[in-house]
Amino acid sequence: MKILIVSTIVPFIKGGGTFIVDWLDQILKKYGHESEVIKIPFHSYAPEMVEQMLALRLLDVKDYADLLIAVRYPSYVIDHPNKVLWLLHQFRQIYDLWGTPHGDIPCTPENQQVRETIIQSDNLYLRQAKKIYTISKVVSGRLKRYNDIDSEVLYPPLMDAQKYRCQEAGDYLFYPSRITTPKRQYLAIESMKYTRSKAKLIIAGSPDTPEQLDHINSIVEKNHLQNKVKIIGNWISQDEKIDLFANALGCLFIPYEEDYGYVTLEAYYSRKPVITCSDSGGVVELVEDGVTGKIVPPEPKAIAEAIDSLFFNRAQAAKLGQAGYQKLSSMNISWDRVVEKITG
Amino acid sequence: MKIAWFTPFNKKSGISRYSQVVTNELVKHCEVDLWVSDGTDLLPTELKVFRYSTGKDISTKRKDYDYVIYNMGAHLGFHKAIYETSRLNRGVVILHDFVMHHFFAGYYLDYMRDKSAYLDAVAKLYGQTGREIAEGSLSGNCRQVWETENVVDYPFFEKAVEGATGVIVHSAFLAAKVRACFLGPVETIYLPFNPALIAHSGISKADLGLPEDKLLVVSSGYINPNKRIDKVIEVLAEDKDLADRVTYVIIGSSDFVQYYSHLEDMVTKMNLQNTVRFMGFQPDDILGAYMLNADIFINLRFPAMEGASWSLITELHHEKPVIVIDNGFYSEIPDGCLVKIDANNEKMGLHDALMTLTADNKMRAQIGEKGKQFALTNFTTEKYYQKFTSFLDQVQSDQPVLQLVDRVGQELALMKAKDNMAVVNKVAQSISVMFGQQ
Amino acid sequence: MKIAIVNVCIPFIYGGAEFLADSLKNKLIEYGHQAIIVKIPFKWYPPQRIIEHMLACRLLRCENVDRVIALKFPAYYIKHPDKILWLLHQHRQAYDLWGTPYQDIPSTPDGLRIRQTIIQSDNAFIKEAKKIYTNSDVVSGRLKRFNGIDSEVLYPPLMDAEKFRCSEFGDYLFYPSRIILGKRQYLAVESMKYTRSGAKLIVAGHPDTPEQLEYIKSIIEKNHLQSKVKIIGHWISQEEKSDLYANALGCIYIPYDEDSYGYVSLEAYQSGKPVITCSDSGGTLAVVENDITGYVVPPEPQALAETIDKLYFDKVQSARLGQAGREKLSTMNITWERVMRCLAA
Repeated sequence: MKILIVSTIVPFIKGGGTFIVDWLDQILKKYGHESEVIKIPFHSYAPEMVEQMLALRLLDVKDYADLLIAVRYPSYVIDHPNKVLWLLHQFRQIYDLWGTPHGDIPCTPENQQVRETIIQSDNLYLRQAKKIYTISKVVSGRLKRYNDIDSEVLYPPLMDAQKYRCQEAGDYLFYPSRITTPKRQYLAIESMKYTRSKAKLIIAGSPDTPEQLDHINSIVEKNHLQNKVKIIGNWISQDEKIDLFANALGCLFIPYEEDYGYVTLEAYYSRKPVITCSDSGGVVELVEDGVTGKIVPPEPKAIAEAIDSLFFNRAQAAKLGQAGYQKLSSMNISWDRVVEKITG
Repeated sequence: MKIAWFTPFNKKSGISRYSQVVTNELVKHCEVDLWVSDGTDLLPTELKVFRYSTGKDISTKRKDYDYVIYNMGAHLGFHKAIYETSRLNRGVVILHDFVMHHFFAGYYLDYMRDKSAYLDAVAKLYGQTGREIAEGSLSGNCRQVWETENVVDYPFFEKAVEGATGVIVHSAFLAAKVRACFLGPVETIYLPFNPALIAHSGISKADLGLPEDKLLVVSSGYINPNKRIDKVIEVLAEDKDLADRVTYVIIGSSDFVQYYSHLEDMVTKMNLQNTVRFMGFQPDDILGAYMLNADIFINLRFPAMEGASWSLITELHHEKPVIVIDNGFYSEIPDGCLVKIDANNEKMGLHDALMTLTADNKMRAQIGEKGKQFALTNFTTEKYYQKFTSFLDQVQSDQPVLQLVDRVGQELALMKAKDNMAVVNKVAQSISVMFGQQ
Repeated sequence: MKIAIVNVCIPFIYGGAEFLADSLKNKLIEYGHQAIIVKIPFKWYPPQRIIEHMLACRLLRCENVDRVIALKFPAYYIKHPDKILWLLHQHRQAYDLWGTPYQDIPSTPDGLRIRQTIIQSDNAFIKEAKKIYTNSDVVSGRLKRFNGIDSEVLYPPLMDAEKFRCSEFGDYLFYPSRIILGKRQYLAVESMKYTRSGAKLIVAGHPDTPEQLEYIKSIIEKNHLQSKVKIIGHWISQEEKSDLYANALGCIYIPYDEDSYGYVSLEAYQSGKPVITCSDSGGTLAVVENDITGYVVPPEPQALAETIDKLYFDKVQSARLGQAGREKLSTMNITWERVMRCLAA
């Protein structure tokens, strides 16, 4: 089949969402399809969203491919008779983040109008898809709640799961992610104030802005946590990451309302337990409290306790990690399944 | 080139005759099919006539034609099917009438029986004020707006040209009004007149029972208050000397029973029985004879409600001076080709004009000749054909812009975007620069 | 700097422009910038689509980049305060192809309007760019002639010039390119009917459609050229290509009316090999000079056969032509340093 994978992207924003289209492209080619990724630039600023959606509607790709896969808002407004969605997330700024401290759009009457227009378009164009998949129950839930649209969950696999490995557990919890407020590295650092064990924390990731990095560095300084917390404030290579996972005691991954979280997969492929929070969104779908890791309230003391429990009981930690790996295997989060669902 | 020509073609509509003249010229150069929804009793033609009933969607046949032309006029019965078809298949609208309120009032109220649709349509065009006026019309507490002269402020022609790919009108007066609301191409083409229509029957004033020693003044057409006949009668009443110089013949029927009776009463009360004659409706040959024997025509319209004036064009071809009020289409005829009076000074102007013309036969001849020259040069089928076909080229040339604007409009409508949103301006701006309109 | 290269995308077609975009991106990263390629799909038939896509490009936005480098119509309509053009293509159908069989847009009133709109929009939006570069004199000339806009020629260099070398002068002419009518591989094959020497022809490239490949194969069969002509009907690796250049007698590159000299010309001269091209090939004439760096002949099989034989019978001369071509290249300053200075300073 000739397959177009369309994504609207903001250049140079790194994160899980940017890899999925390239991975999917590679996999589809392996399966013998002709596939191409089209990354269309866009500006994620709501007041300018309507004209960009209009622009996407004007693009004619109907004759170019047998199948069109749309992965991000607003690329799914593009017209195609055989459109399949594998939704990473919608425009959260106008849905669940509207009117909250995490929202960055002022609730003016003009923006309210824009918001209504975007919701109307979503309702209309999402429904044009022949099949709708999402990357997690969280995303499916939002789609149902805000747009009354049903969808099937199709968890995205890692590209190179087999590269992850498990070595002897060290003394640190590993937290790899873009350094930005919703990922809540600040909360992870704060919890280190309350740990009683010798457990350490290694944070690694590229900061969204220099201020983000300064902020968490300052928390470490103010609380004299230099011995306990190490911050690698830049993007690390795949190999470095795999090493850090391999030797970790466990993975600490506590974002706010994450859509999915590849980090969870990476941890389990490394057979390491995962500590997450009850409000971490998609992460919670893959972690089972007491079985494959720990789910705690988003409070420093509770997190600290969970960290300590891993440190004080290494055998248990290893078991949790191993169970996590087993659970993943049983869930069939694989590219075979993805291709079958999308092209079948 | 193949054209689908939608028109009334019955014997009563003036537009039927216009269509006959124009299509006979067009068919010399291209293929023309007539699309007619009237019953029987049609004008003769050699063209293929397709019959259709109301609102028929000609989409499947549409691709056979390069252009679809819709002749729109104020008469509901003659133009309803044309209007409905124009909603389903875009084409060029030839707008014959300025005031179309009667048409749409009839359409919504009598045909669709939907008062709220009528009110919404009025409000959309004329805002809250319009809605209130329309509500008043429906309430029965005051005269219906389309029966009054205020209707010129709520003409409703905007609805007839909505969605057209281009609009043709027959006066610069109406063109200006259309351009104020219609973004596509608009062209003014003067109506074509065939001088052969003037049949010299040889009937004399004496044959018609008219005094030979008095000048014959004629007004013709449907009698309504808009034609200011009452003012003419008053002017004659106020100057016996003038009244003695002329016979004033009024030919035409009227639906305005009260007004007509009032005019007749005026004549009786003011003792003008020797001067003024009401002929009522007359068949073409008699009307023609009166016109050929006329010395002066009076053709007053105020406020102008038509798109052009077929009667004026006919009168000009008779090589006699015509007295008109300076507004609408009448203003477009150059000074010296007729006599224009100022609406603000109507009676005095009328009196002066009549006094001068009745006294000076050289001037009458001069004005008559200039008027005829102007008419012969400007109201021709050749000119009509030329301007018509080059307008069609322009319509086609504007298609890409119109289609793009439409497409954008559709997409924004699907998103339920509001007119006042920033995106509308931004897109309009981009389109404007792209098409070199800035 | 954060740089977005904005290109137009016709899905599943990978040609010189796409290769250039990739090369540019890699070089920008090499020079320490962050670079990404973003694409906007384009369809130009029916003609109304052209203006719809023009408007779409006008409304799209590129956020979070310091600079945009735009390559083709209508992608260069995208708005950005720091936009530089490295113009590979305007919509030729509205310009030099107008009035020829390749016009594509009908000469009806609406077709004319569309043409006019393309020209008007180019006039308005190209000027938004801070700097305007093109990839050839042909493109710059056209931009000046039709739009009155000045531009500077910035030749696209090879991505990896050091991988090309000269080994020996063998017995074959080499023609690597996408197999498509416009490149006229069929003409090269036909000319082998008329060669008198032992020269051979190797054609290599991915066919745009299977029919293109079938067509060439059928010419070989009909004329029994199997011993003279070899067709590699798919992409070959960089190494294979370098090898084939390195041992070639010369290179034949005879596209119809192309704007740019083409990577093939560069690769051939980088490998020290002479180039045979046609008088109507367009941009190649900027580097291929008759009797100096190669041969320029009318697009006729016999004329081409003659030059092929010439190269075969006088290999010393062939080497000289190839070397002269290589020297000429170096005088033209076709380097990535220059490109970086122009586009990313």
